[in-house]
Amino acid sequence: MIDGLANTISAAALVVAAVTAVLAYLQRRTPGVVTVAVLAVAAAVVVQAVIALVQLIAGHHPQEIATFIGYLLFSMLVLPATLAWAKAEPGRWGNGVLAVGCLTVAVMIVRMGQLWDVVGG
Amino acid sequence: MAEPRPTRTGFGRVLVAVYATFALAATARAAVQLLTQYSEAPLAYLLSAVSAVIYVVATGALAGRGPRPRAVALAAVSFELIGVLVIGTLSVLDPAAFPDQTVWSGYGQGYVYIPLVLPFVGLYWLYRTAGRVRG
Repeated sequence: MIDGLANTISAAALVVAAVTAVLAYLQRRTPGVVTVAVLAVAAAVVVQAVIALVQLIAGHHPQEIATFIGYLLFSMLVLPATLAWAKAEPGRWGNGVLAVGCLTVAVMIVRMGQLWDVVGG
Repeated sequence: MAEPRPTRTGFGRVLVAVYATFALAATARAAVQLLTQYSEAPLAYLLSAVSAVIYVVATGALAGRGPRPRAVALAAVSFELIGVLVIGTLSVLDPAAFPDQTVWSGYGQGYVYIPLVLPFVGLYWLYRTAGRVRG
């Protein structure tokens, strides 16, 4: 993993989570720019998963490698699934779903970073 | 409001998203525990797998439509409430039996206690959408 990229993704996901939570509170429709932002974070998550995968193959062994690979795979699925599930109700509750999804991704990336930095057997 | 409302729309859509998150977390955790270190604490890891199944079933049932998914959701969420209370208590009384965190250890403290709150919210939502005339 590249710390700078992972931190940027977590921070961006948290910002989008906060924005969508506010939009949910205000009962506003999800603006197009927010959907684009979620897609951008989703793409960045895939990029960083591919980078981490290459580093794993190159020989980096994080602690709890099975858990790490689980996070790696699922981190890529969360936001596409979130967008699909939120789409049906683009108002208050769709924004709420996006907030949950973005928060989940932020936590997953932070957990991956913690596992990555502790090199195991 | 005699007709039951769908559990999957409105606030229920957010609830299903949260349940799906925990279905994912519990399933991944149980899979890793069972595959890599089953012999260390078979009971704790089997209970971890049970929690994963409960979250998966609750997610699917809450996202479904009609009376049967509603009944399944009620059973799953009730079981979830009992599970988090029992496993939470056991893990506090006998930490040695739970060497590794499960989603329900310490009443879900590893997940900012959301696993403890979630079944109450789930039961409240099922009650709110049931639509039966009471009296």
